[in-house]
Amino acid sequence: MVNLENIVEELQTIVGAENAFAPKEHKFVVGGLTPSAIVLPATYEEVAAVMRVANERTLAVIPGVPSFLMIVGNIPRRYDVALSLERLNEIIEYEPADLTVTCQAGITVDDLQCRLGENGQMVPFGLSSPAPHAIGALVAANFSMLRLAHGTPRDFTIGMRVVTADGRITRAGGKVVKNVAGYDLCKLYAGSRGTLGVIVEATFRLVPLPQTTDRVELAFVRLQEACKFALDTYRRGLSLSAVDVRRDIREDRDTGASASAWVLRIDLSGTVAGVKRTRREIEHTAQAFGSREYEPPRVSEESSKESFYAWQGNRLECEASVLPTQVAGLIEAFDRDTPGAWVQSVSPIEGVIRAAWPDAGTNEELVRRLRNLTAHIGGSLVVTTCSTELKRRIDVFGDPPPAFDLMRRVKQEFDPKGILSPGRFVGRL
Amino acid sequence: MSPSTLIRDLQRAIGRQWVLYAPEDLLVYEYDATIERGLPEAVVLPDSAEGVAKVVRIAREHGVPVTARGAGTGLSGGAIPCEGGVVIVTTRMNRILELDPENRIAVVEPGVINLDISRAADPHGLYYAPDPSSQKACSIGGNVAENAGGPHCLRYGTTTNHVLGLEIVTADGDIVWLGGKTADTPGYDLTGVVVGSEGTLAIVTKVIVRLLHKPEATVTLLAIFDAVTQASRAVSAIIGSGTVPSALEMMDKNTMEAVEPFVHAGYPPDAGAVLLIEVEGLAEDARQQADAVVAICQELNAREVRIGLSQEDRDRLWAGRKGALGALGRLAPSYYILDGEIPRTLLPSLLDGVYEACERFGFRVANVFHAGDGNLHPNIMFDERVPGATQRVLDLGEEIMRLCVDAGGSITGEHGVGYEKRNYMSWIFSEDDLEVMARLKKAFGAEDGFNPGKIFPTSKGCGEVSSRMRAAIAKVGPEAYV
Repeated sequence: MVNLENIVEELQTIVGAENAFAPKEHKFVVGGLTPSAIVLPATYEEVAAVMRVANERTLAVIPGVPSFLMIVGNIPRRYDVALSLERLNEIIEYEPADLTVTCQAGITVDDLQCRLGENGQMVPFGLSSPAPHAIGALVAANFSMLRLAHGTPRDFTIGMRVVTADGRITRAGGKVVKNVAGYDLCKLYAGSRGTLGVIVEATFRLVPLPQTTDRVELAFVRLQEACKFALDTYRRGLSLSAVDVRRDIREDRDTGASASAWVLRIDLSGTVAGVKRTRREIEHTAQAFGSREYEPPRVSEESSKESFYAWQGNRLECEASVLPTQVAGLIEAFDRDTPGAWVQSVSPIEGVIRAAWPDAGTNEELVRRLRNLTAHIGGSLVVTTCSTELKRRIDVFGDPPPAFDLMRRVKQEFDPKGILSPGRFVGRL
Repeated sequence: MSPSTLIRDLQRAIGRQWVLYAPEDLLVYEYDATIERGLPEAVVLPDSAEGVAKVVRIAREHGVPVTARGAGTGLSGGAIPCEGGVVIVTTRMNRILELDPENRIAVVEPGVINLDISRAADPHGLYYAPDPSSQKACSIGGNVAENAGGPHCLRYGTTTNHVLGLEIVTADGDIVWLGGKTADTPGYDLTGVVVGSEGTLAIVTKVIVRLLHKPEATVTLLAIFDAVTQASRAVSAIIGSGTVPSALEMMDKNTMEAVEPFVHAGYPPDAGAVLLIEVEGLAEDARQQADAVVAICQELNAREVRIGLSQEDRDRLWAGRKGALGALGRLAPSYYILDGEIPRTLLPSLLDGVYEACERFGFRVANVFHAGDGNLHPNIMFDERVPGATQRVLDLGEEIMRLCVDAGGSITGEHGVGYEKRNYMSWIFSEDDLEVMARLKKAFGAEDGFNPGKIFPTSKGCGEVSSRMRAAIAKVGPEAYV
């Protein structure tokens, strides 16, 4: 039995009285569990000291919260300490002409991009969101919106500092863009969702900001056509930074009948001449395809907010990864077998589908059917949002992958006592 | 010589004709493109993952290590069985199993030659991006093991950015798939750690690679400078300007002097350095980037900027770079290629340091390297017949590696750690850092079963290493690749 006595007091001796406390608000809850203590270290040494205490007392720690990392994942086996990295928010080193930056894990994407933007550069997370996302969480989730053009954090994170489960400050990679010295542990930590170590610092390869950006939205009657159009456009090497399809359902203003359309959104970026030509070619080809320029519905901000919250409720949200050529077929299969999906975002070029089913947050049968349809064609499906009740019954990551035994052994070596986000990852690692 | 039980077991599993054990046959597998030598007890050429798994299990039963070998073009002794045992050669596993142009992926066996993937993908307008200079000869399995780079990695990244999945044989002899054909697969990115693990974690038996669409336009530029310092400044200015060329290579005066008589590239005899720069993309973008590069080079006093638009003109501009190493072999009886990585803004001072050190040691050096990435390749020329010369070259190499590390760089940008540099690992990694890496090896159950003696620092055998290096350095010559 874990002894939870005096956790807060012990952590206070490390970080000071005001930076360790018992939770007073809900924002640290994960999978319905509330931690006994919240700790906000301000240095790597403090993070290490916190982990040493946790390791010694076998306290379960979830690092990098609050963040969207809390949403995706299985219910933790235990949750004793919420380790916030928000006070680690400095840029450590930035040399624009090297096109690299080293910063602490708690800095928000917005703050970092602001600083880099002064020199016409960015980290290619491509995130524009009102929520303040910390870069550490994005790396831990291997998340990026500009995947098409620049890959995911695993591709552009060249170095890290990681505090191990037993409280040692270690380094992986370096600060140079090309480096093959030793095992590339950055790849292992990126996407490991706080289960192998606490990422406290990252070094990124930067990219120049594009000279100009633009956006084209086209409406298609059939998803197949939207996907084919996207792949054809990509094949021509045009200046695309992100391509995404979503289903738009709306009432016809005249007849009142509801109609659906597939909206292909193409973000363009590059040189002025390149973007101009890309737009021209897209518009030209679109005519031949019989698609029309998309007209966004005219709705009041109030009613759009309302429908947004109504829909947010008890939903089941999934992310499927399949081959690009399988995307349209899989969504058709979803529509046949499991109607009612909000298709939020389809990446026809990368083969990633994000969809949600309203009022289905507890529907285990639906998850089983979606999994079968996806597994049948060799893809994978992660449940990104559902009710806590359903999370108790399923593994949100699906069946363990073929290499699960190796993954289990990696977890065992890196976190022998199972104190880092225990139970949250694939196969409840 | 009568075959040992190890040999007989291997013969039974794989077939007599695919197991080599006679001393004269083994000699061929004793070395690769550099430095190290080690004689295996047996060389096996399986033709499937199942065959590899059988060999691994037999070696394990006999308590001998296994080292995988592709084409033997590596520059850090990756394919050298330092502690003997069995060498698995992947030459027979050379099939392109699947090419899916719509989804832009190919599934290949490890013995497939790098360039053959691009050749197979070419009719579909696709190619495989990582292009080590040895791409006509090197195998994809070796590329995966070393996380191979090449001139065009500046824009497109190294092998690790182009591998989606791997089929591996573990030290237990199990066949396991890591990653897959799709963009995301749930779980830890084990593909990402096996790439670049120098054959110490697993033996790769299939590789899923990502293919790219060929760019619409490519422009090659050759900028000639009076001095290396000017060229280095131009590198920083180009990178800092928001232009990301697909390649940005530098050659210094000594390299040009070696190249000119053979390639007739037209380098002015008194020029200090040239930059070879490639930009690509849409025709409009390539043109605009080329203009920007020309402007920067002129601003920084380039004497001349030559522009190649047609394939023929571009090939001519590249000829000097591609022929450089072969030409260097004619300048001195031996040369020693170093591989160091630094932040690119420090190129001017670091190159000064390299020249200064080489002069102090009394050796001529030719620099031909991936300047845009900050990836240095000083080639030290020497005559190993001069007593003590080899040891001094090694000492000089160590000093140059120190310069890279002191500048905040790394001991290897693309050739790997191998045997030669394992004791430099502790310059850039703490004991804790290395201990964490060792945990990964333990998780794979590999311990000393696969390619022992590589990557990790050791206190044993340094004297022995040096004497073996001396013998091997003589081998390094025109066949070596950068």
